[in-house]
Amino acid sequence: MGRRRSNDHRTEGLLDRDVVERARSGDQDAFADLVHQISDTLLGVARRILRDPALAEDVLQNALVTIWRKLPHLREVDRFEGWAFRILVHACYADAPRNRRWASSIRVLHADVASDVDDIQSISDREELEQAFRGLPLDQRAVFVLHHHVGLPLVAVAETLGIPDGTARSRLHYATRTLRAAFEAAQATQDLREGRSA
Amino acid sequence: MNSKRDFDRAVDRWLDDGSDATPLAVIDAVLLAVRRMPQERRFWWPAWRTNGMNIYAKLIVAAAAMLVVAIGAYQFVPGRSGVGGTNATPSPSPAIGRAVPVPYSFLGGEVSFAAAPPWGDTTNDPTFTVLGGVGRGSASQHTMFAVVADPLTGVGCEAGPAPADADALVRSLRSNPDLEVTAPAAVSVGEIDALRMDVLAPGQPGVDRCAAAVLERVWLTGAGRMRLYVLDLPEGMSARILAIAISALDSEFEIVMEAATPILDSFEFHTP
Repeated sequence: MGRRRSNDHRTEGLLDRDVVERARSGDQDAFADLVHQISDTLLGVARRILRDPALAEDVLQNALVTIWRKLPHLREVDRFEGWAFRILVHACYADAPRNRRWASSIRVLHADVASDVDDIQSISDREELEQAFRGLPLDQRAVFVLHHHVGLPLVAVAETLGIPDGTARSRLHYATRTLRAAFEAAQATQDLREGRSA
Repeated sequence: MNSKRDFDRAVDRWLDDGSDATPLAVIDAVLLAVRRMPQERRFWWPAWRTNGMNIYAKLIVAAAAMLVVAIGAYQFVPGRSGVGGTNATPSPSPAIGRAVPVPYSFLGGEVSFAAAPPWGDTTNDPTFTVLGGVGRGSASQHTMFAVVADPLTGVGCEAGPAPADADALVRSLRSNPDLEVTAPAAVSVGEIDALRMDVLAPGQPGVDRCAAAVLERVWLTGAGRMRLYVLDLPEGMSARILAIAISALDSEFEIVMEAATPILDSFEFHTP
């Protein structure tokens, strides 16, 4: 955990600098390219913070439009990705409370994955993590996702969100502690079940 | 014990769950909106205007700007007739040109203090308030003015036992091998006796999350220094101990402390 992931998440600077510059100058085609380059990453972040795919898509849409409108204010093109994350997270903060009641707390489990004890344990772990994460405030969720999912170092998370480093640490600490407690509870429950069935 | 590894693995699996492919309808809606929506214009003064100019042109522009400002200012010199001249009187308002302190309520109003911008809160709970925003450039990211009710000491990522009083908290901090804590000095905060000490984490130059926990929710960052005030709250208040932790990069510490002094001076305790 806490590393930059190697799958499809782009690192700062891998975005085409020229595309960002042209979009900043008002080139709509360049912005369309940019949207194709970053939308999946941004959606991934929004989806993980909000835990609601439909709401995450709405937030992404708002965030991308805001990014377009405010792009001329971006001074350093190389910082585009962090700047975009910041706009997205603020869009999550802005839209989530209004829609909190709509957020489904039901998650569909795929029946075919629960084939043995390990899979059942895995599902149980994920369910506990999911429930615990949903109980966290959005600001803690945002720090956790940017650090663990995007792989930003905490200092970069703090800079991205415009908060002091200590605040980012504190938020991550609370989020991790809550999730760990939930995980350990799931493990303990599973251990009990296995004990009974043995 | 492999529970940490199991936990990390479970979190990774859980975070990786699901697809992040953006539906085409979302992208289409964005691009459609963009076609109809102009971008906000940038202010006229940033670097773009001067990038292509040579040094003489820049000097001429700067001199012209200064001349305009000087002429404008001259119009307002007291004793001079004309616009804003003799008729201009000093403003009675102390707020003009000075940031107005924002009041903060802590412990449900039992503790109050005020902080003027650029101080601003990043966490504002009844028992844990953190202000930030002071410092030069990116150094401000490391600045923190934290107020904590009934603080627990931090050991790595874990919270230590609850101390009985301020003295016990100080003893616990001073026994932490990761921290260098100066001898406590007797001071007063809001007319209540307090202990003040400086805290360093000399062996923890990195930025690992739990490397240098001073209190449960308060860390020292790499190359950071903290000034800590600890006091016993009066009988009848809803918490027993109050800690005020001000931390900053070593290079910014004096500036930050200077900016923190008015906040410290503004503390008031309201016994129920």
